[in-house]
Amino acid sequence: MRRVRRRIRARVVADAIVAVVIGTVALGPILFGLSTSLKARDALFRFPPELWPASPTWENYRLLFSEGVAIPILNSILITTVTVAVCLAVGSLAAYALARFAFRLKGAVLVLVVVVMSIPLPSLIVPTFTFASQVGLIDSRLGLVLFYTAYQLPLAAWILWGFFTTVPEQLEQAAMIDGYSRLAALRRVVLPLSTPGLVAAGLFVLIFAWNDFVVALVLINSESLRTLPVAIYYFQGFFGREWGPLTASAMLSIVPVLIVFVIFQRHFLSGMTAGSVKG
Amino acid sequence: MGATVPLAASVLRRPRRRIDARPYAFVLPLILFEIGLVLVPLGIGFYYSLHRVDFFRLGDYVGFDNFVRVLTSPDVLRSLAVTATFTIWSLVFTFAVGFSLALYLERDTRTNVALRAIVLIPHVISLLVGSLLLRWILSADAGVLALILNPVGLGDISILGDPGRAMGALVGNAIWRDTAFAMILLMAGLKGIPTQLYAAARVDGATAWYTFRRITLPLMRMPVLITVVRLVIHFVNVLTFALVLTGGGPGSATRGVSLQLYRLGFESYRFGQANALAMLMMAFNVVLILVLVRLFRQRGSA
Amino acid sequence: MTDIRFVDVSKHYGDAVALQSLDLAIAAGEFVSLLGPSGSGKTTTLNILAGLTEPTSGDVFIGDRCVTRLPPNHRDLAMVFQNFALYPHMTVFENLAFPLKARSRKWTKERLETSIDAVAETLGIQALLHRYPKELSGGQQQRVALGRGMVRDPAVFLLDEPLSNLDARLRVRMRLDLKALHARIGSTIVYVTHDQEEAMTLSTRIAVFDRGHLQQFGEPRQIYAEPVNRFVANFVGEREINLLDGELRLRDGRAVFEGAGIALDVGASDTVDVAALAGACQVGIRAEAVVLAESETRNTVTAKVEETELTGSEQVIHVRTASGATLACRATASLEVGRGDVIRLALPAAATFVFDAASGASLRRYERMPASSSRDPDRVGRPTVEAP
Repeated sequence: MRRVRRRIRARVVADAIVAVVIGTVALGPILFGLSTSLKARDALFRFPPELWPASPTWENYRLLFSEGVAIPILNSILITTVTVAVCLAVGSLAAYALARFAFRLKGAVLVLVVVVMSIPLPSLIVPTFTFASQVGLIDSRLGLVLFYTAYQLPLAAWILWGFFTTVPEQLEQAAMIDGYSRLAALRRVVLPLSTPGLVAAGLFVLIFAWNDFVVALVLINSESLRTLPVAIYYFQGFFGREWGPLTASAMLSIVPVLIVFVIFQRHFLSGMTAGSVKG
Repeated sequence: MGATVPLAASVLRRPRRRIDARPYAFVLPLILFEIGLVLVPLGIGFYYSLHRVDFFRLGDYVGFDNFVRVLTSPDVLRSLAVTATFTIWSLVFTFAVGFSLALYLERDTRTNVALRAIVLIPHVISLLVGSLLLRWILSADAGVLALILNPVGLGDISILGDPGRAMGALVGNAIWRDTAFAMILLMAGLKGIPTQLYAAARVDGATAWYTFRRITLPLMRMPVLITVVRLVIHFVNVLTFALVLTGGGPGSATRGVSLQLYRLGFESYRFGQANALAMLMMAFNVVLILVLVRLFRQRGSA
Repeated sequence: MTDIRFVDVSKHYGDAVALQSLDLAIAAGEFVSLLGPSGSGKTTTLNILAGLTEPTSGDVFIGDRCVTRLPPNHRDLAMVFQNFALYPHMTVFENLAFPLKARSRKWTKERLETSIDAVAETLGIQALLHRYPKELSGGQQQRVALGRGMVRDPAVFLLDEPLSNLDARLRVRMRLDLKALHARIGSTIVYVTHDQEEAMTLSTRIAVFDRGHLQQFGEPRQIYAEPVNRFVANFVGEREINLLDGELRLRDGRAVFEGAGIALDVGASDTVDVAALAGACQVGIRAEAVVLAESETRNTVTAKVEETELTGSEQVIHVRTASGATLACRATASLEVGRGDVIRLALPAAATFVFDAASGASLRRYERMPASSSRDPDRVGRPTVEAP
């Protein structure tokens, strides 16, 4: 009996050590960034570095806002919101067709979805820039929304497809007998019942649009149209070694994502495995 | 009118097969988006890759000249080697750590769920922000490195100033961010194995290692392949790590293909060559993507 | 030959009781069914015996060895799971070889083939050896699962509802196969099922469980004819038994039941423990024991037919007495009765069960005491009381 107890205690200790290591490695950089963002200028280069500032201050954040960081933030919010809305709307339509109809091009559409989902963005930026500069979508928030939508629609449709197939068709059939069209049935019956799917799909699009860097970097030139990640990138040149405001700007990007992530954790996992579980 | 149609005639009129237009209407917007904003740009890019481009002006048709230039450029060739090194190291470590975490955190206990979320956090923040924070930590200014290395007597080394160590930092960035990705994909695969098989193996007398070798691994073949292919696609193409963490340096020690492409297009403005290189990268990606599609199909039928 | 003993085994999950104070002795070579509804503790018992679950308290013995803390692979037993649990990526041959190769690397190809061919022949699956599980029918998968257990020639064979995934006709056929198998290999077999017909046809003895407690352990005939409480009487047998509420009295050396407008002689006074009855009484009788009465003798009632159910060669007649009691009676199909007919039924005393209405415990004194799970010597022969 004692041997079993010793074995259990050793296991608990090992588990605790592993948990601490995981937490430190995963969250360390972020937490250190947070603490740096709250340090006053002179405290910044102190050695050894304080894990947490003795006298935390908001001055870095105030500096950012006085330098106009509100504009990139608003740009990001605007673009993100519109992209999510369009992706969910258009994605729902496509997902519904995939879930309810059997049609000749269904296989081709699915292949298209999987292929576009798998294309890595950095390989697209040069042709996209080339194209965008020809059709006037450079330096345009609309252009960004359009491209973001094109990149995320397949994933949104994929996730929604998975959820729509779990809604029993009889409910829509009942609605149609009652006189609703397919589209109306989609809107009134299927969508309300697929809230987890909409949330999951919306989350992924939201995170992508909020976080995207390379596409926005390439397509936006004017300072006033920059999204937050691009603004942060250029802050490196502007602030140089002033890591206080730099890390503060990073936090501005991270905090909304973390909040969303913590609240909607469950939906995340269902969406992430969507690409690998479904055949 | 009330005239009755004779029976023979009504039978002869065959019912017309109506093609239901609705599904096509429903998927049309998505198709238009993809064609217009992904496929057309690729087409335009290909077109440009066949011409000489002065800054933004389209010049003469030069056939595959740009491709030849790109493939014989020492910069590009060096960047391919850099990418290969980065991809292999990142793949090995990300996969190993990801698989270990998937096995370790497989059971749905409260702590495991929390730890999975923690591992996922570096993955959900912007790549830019992640690399920026890591750059801060690795910088001499932060003092973090000095804090850790001074006691060991290695306080004077610089990470980002040394080619080997800068590559290590880059790989570290990849591991930090993408282990979660591997973990999630592999965990989904693990959960696909019915638990009764493990019970049966226990009763059959198999040790934990034997069970892992003869049951878990064989049944994980597909998830493993899918994970590896997706990781390779990601690592070969990723731009932000190099752009933000190391700037490609020191010198061009960490300048991979993506960064080389970026410089070619957005610093040298050689759009003919840049598009050519982009086409080559896309060809490579398409091969991997087709492999992925094939794997998905196989999985669906299994 | 190995026997199996459970000594005061309990399994709790927090506050929930999966199994409570189980004492059970299974003799070597027996075919024992663990029978009960879901949640009754039968699967828990099997898992504890297999070593897949550790009991909260108590000990398990296989032969002379105390195996309570031993992992499954050290217990020399084989198990067949409900969903067969065949390794999908291995051929039938490899599935059968797995338990052999898992324990020792020293199997040569020839030795493997000999052992496996022997088992395959017994089960009639030689033709399937190079197929994969997904290519096999349910019955074939079932036999491969059995084969995987048999290759090790185990002392004890555990089966967890192995037939429940097969369709009805196949199930009946497989039952005979299992019985023949048991006769051939002679291992001790412990079999979990919720199907009482299965348990009755296959077992040498049946252990009936309810809500974590062993209710009764005995031969099928005993379980059927001498149930220890109302639960066992109801659970075993094709349908629920007829129950009548009333009072029990002693009259002229006989125990007499009065209730629902019926007076029944339920046997000599020494066959019923009237003194133990605290309050109201319930008399039960199986539908197949109720017969049509020729004349108005003792223990007959007249009732009006409400409904008849035809089941092929037989029918079940549902009647209601003048006082509102309902009875079901099994009769041949050739008997012509219709709704509204008034018929006379006889309820033979020897076939009646007498229960305490509150606890459900049987008040019958049978000649042979049924082996129950109680450790209290005063309670030998007394049934375990139903939990409130």
